[in-house]
Amino acid sequence: MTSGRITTASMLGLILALLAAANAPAAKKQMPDAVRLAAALNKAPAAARTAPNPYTGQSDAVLAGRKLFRQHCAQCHGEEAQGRGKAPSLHSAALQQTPPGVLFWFLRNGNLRKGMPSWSGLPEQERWQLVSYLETLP
Amino acid sequence: MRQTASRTRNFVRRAAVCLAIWAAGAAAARAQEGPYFVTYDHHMEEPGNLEIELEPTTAAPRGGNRFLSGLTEFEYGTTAWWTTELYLEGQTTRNDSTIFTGFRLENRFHVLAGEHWINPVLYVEYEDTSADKSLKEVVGFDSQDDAAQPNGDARRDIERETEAKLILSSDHMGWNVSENFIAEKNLAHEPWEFGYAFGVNRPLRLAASPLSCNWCGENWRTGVELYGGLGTADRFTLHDTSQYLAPVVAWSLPNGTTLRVSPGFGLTDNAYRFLLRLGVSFEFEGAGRKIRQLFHQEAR
Repeated sequence: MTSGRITTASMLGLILALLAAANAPAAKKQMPDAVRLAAALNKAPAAARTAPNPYTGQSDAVLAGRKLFRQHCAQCHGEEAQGRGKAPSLHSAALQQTPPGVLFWFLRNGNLRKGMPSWSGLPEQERWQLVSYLETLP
Repeated sequence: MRQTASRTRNFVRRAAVCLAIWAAGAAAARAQEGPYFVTYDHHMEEPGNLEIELEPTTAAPRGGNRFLSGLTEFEYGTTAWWTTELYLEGQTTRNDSTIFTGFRLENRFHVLAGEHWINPVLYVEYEDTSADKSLKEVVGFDSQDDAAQPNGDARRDIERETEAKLILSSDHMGWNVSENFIAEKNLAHEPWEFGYAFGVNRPLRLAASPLSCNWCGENWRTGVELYGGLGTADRFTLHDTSQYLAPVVAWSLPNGTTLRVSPGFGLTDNAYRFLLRLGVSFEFEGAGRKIRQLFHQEAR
């Protein structure tokens, strides 16, 4: 009975310690948002750079993308994509010059080690709609 | 002694009030919520989000009383590649009693960076339960006869178990296909038990509607799960195991609530002939940040 309690307490302690470590502020100095974003997008393969957005020019896709952005992305990037905490602002020249296929690739893969989740759980069509919205950000 | 008890009560009361205020003010988010009850896919909880889910299951064992088990799940996105969960469990059995049956702590780790054809996730769990009827997974030679035992007797058998799962999951053309291989070990010198779960699901509509809507096809996911035991390390087999086939449906509302239902059908003699699972979950965005703010304000 006692060994069971010790095991339970050790497990709880270990998990709490790991949680605390994961949430601790990073010791390294953070790169500026735009640099971090550009570095992440530069990892896209060549094929992604030429992939066209099937919804180009469709205003409904932009509206759907805006709705999806508010449902999934705004919690980190802010309602108007202005950035919040570690999540960068998406109103950047670097982002606007990024080919749509690269944005699509980035939404699919995320950047797990830097806090950006993968959105592969969303169907491809929804990810392209998100790209359509991101392309309209000033 | 009394002073300590009173302080503890006060702390619990204050914590409850803080939690209620925070929950009322918390904004809802919509996660990539799948419809599965037993199978895990590779989609992690979004970092900093907390999902709270109630998951009742009902079934009637052969020659025993119908039960209703209740799981309360707290799922937190520690990082983008690590999700941690706490489950609190209980059950009520007709003509018997209502009891708290224990807890389980689990952690899931997304092993590879980026998205691949098959995405492996490692799952590690510790559970401390007795008279558990939640059927969160089926392993070894789990049988409906286990649930026919009166609660008073079943409670004496405390199970402290560790469990590991290899989760393999793929997304393609809107479909999710997930396979789980389960290995469970009772710490009281019992052999390893094995099980599996397989699931496939797809949204009813792949593109989102431009309007906010509750009923549109993009909010619905349907699929099917197949799960069961694979015997033990001493006897790795499908014979005498429980196997289930269960259609699954999930409906995600724009306000962050997801409702799920799954009628399960037993395919072998040891399985319940029919079991019904329900799930109601709510996603709180930025929960970690808000909790830190609460404590930060209190410290001032």
